[in-house]
Amino acid sequence: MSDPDANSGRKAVDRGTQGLRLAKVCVDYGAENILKQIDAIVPEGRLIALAGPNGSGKSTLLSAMARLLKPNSGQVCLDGKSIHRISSRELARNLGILPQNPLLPEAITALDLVSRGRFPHQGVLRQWTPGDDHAIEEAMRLTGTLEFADRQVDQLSGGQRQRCWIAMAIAQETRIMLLDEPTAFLDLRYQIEILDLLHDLSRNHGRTIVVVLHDLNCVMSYADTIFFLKNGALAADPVEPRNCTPELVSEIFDIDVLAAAHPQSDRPVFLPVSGRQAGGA
Amino acid sequence: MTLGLFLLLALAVIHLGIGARFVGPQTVITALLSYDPTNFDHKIVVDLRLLRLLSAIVCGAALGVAGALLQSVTRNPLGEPHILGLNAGAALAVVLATATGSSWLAEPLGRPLIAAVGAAALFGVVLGLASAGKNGLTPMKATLFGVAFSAFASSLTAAILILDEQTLDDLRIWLAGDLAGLTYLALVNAAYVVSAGCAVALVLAPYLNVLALGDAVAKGLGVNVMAVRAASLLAAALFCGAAVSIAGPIAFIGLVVPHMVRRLVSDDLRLLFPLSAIGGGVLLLAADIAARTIVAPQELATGLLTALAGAPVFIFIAARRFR
Repeated sequence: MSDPDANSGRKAVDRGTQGLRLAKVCVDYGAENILKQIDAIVPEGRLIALAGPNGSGKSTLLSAMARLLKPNSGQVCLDGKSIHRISSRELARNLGILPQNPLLPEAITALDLVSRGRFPHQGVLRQWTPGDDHAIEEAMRLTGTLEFADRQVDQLSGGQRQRCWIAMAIAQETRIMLLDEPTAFLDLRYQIEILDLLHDLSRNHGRTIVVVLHDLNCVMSYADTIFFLKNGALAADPVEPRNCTPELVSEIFDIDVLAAAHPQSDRPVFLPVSGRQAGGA
Repeated sequence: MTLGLFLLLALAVIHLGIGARFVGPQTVITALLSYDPTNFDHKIVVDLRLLRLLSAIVCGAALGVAGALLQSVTRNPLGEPHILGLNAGAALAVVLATATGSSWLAEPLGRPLIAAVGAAALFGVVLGLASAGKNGLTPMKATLFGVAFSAFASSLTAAILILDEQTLDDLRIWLAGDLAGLTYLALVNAAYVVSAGCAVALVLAPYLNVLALGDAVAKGLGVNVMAVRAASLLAAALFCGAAVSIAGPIAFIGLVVPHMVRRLVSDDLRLLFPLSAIGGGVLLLAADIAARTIVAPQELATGLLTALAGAPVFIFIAARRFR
């Protein structure tokens, strides 16, 4: 429908039907309701975190947004059109997903992996264009993966490997990027690197980023908007980190927390109240 | 690629020279380039041996690409027409058709297509059963079911042949996997089917490259996963049907060749497919040369030799992967 290059780099917030919207989305696995009547508008050009306890439906919601699964009822719409009515290739030019456990082919190089993100931009005759080269170089530069472009991905460290996958998703040049726990199993340092990168993508490259994150304090430090999920439903209206209260967090995660202000950003940080300390105090 | 083609040419010249009467490489080349019908050596090379050479190349290429396709689409390093049951299914279909005197066999494309249908049918059963159950399709289950159903189909084939001596006599050598006793018509028919399969494989290569990153990533990049799988299996069945109709069930070419290419050159299917075709041709030619020289002046069935050489490779890969 539209040229993806024109879309990236745009921060416009069109109040009409632009962007990704969910209307009464329900997903069942057998008799169990995994998602119950989710209504949401994904704000454009921002970093949105999906947070909530295990089994709250975060990954399922992300999969429904990415058309990896079809809701049993309700609709996911992109620019006012149901994503199930958009052609696969067209959708893939506007919306990309990095799932939690992608498969890494043996002996694939970083460059080769990243270039596979260009798939939806190539025609039936698979023409390789300078635009493809440019997108790949840009993605690898942003993720700092250029230096090992010719190395095999399975021989890189966990953090480097994850940056290659994110580079692939960036090279897809979609205005909306969905990522399922991109920082899982990574050291603190790599977690911060990747979250900084996602922040940069939303802030300086106009991308809409929706990311499932496990660590609540990462959510607080990096998200513009938080969708809290509990038992398959949105537990609150979308909130900004600044407006999160200990009461809200306690209710969602079923633990007692204390709030503090982050010394650098002044955003809230939530510290769980441990049974041992409470007893000792 | 150039090296592969060069190797293929060199082996082809040797292949044409070898036999009851040895013909030197120079004579082989002149026979091909400026054929002289009065020259006895030229007649041997072109009239008697060229057919066998071309059959070996077409058959080897088909098996090589089929293996590459199957390994990629089933994500199974042991994916191969013989192990996954396609060859046995194709052979059973041809034997059944011969025993019942089916008129389809007489049609121009009858034999390769009957074989392809047999391959697709048996592989379909294997995939269906292997996908059942909680864990879905795993390489291990596909391999086990493939081997089990291959054995089952082979015993059915054997049973038919024991009950029907006429069919047995017609097909005995072919069933061991042999390149002798072909006609140009059969080869040309099989070549059509192989070309169709190659076209499908080349179109599919970029899709399969993305599918290799997992179903979720592939869907996210806009690939219709089910359609690509179905088309790949269809192409694999066409290759096996063609190869089996030429030479009977020949084992292990499809297993060994893609692994070698992947290790030596690249994992990229756009390269892997053509190189596996060349590699398959090279390997089958080498096996056929061996089959005709080891116990000369008698000759062994080519399929016996590929199995002899391929079984250790199979064990090696299995031991590495399923530790």
